[in-house]
Amino acid sequence: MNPIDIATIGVTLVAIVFFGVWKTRNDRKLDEFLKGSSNSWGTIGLSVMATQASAITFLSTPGLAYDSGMAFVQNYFGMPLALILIAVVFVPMYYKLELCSVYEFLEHRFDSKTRTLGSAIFLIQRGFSAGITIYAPSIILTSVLGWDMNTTVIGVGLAVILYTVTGGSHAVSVTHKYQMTVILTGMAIAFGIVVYKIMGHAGFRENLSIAGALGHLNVVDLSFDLNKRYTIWSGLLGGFFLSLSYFGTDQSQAQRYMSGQSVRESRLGLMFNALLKVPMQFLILLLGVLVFVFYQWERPPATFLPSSMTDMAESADANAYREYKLRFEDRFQEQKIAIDGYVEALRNGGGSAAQASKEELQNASLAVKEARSQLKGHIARTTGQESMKETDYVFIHFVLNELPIGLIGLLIAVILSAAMSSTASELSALATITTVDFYQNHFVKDRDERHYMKASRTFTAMWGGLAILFALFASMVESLIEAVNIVGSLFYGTVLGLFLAAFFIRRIGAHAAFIAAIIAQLSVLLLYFTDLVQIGYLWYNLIACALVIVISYSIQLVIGKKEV
Amino acid sequence: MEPDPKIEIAKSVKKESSKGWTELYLVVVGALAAQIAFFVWLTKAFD
Repeated sequence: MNPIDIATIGVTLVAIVFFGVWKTRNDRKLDEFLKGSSNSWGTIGLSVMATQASAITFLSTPGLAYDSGMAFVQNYFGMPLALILIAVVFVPMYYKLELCSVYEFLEHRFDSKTRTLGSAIFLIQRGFSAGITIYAPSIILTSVLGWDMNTTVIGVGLAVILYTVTGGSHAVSVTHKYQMTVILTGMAIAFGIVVYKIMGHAGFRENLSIAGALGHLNVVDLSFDLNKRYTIWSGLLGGFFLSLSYFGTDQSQAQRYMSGQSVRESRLGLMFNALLKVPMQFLILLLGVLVFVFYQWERPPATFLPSSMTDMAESADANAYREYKLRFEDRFQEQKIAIDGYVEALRNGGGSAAQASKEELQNASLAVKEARSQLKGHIARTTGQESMKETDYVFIHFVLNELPIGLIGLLIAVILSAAMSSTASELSALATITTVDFYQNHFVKDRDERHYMKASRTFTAMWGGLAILFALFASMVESLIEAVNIVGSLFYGTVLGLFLAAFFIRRIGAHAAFIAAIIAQLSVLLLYFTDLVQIGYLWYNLIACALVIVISYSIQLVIGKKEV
Repeated sequence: MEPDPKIEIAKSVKKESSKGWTELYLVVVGALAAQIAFFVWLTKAFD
């Protein structure tokens, strides 16, 4: 790697960590450490956005679009609606009760055991996610840049631990602003560069037509198919419940907007995200689609997986590898002729000639796909790495090979900043819940502020250490972004069910809610691990949430009047 | 006598709830509807 890129990465990251530590060096109040200080809506908005946008978002999402188009954006359709409900109902209640942990609300409404259950579910699923948040970018960056995996994981982990232990939630908010600035600048530059490169071959609309002809501008799917992962309905309904759970009942997000100066600032911070998240996600996916179009003009590598793997495949069986590679290159040349023909037909006014060229292009593309999958299959078989998904490596390959020196460093700083920003929120939230809901609530009561401050710092470091350990020993699971969403969907529904019952159904009492939550959680895990029903994972949010409400209501009907 | 801070917060919450928020929420819903309409057009136009 060029020294300028290394310097760009180093200066960006060290400056952010230093700023986080320096800005919070005089913080002494427990409240400030656990909740953050009085932030304005702009800081809250960026902090909420930075928490959700992990490195996986910027590595995996363009790759997902490269592979299968834009349908993933539908997942976010329910989010603005969920944020409105949270702004109207949840935020005022959390402020009114002056909560430090959102699960305290469950104790106010139900009882201590229900609060502990909610907190425990959060610690399990968020603890797991924190590990993936560090592991995901590390495995990709180390394999393509040749960095040492352990050093990367420990380096990223320790940098986050440093400013999170020093400044807690306040440091997290402060650093988020600058991390989001780096992230948005870097992504905008990458977008500009890919547009510039494809415009050298054809007009923007023609490039979009190529993407559309090859099935990559399939943004909205209106079909009612429960087996499909992304449809407008799963996005609106499942996405609504996933977002309601994530933003309304997940401490790592609630802590961000509860750090506001007032209800007004928190609500505006949430509306900032409600307005901008879908367009932002759309643009990240469009970036992936444009990278796909770029690689229709320029021959892509045999595989986007690390070059060490292709080298290994070549040395294992050079003849077979060469044969597969030549076949792919021939098919690619044929496709290029078909693309030129299609663009020419579009320029001549479209019509039936364009339709015929389009079909030719689609057939040529299928042949390329087949030749490429044979080549990839050969590489996977000879290297024994059949589980590695190429989509996670597409964007980083483009960055490393097509961006100029200096900007490569900036884009890697984007990925590392994103990893740090979401990990910091997670560690801060995990430490807050461990301190407030477990340590202070069950084990060591009535000690002074200094004691709990020290405990919070210890728990932050402990969770950071656990996340690093998990990242060091984790192994690949499906596409990384989907792994995080699947884990979230398996647990969020239950907690959301508890919160919705607490907010909206007065009749339901503590015992009924607690039993229903246990049954719902076990049922969802059973459904997922036994494959009893084949459904998209977003539906688990809805199923678990509905189960908690229906079962708790039924139990309450049997028990009779609400117990206190 | 000092006012109860929780009551004060509740009052400010109520006051803030009424002013201009409905309009803002409608803007958010309108923006989402416009985005979805644009995505449907994009899907159909480049199918």
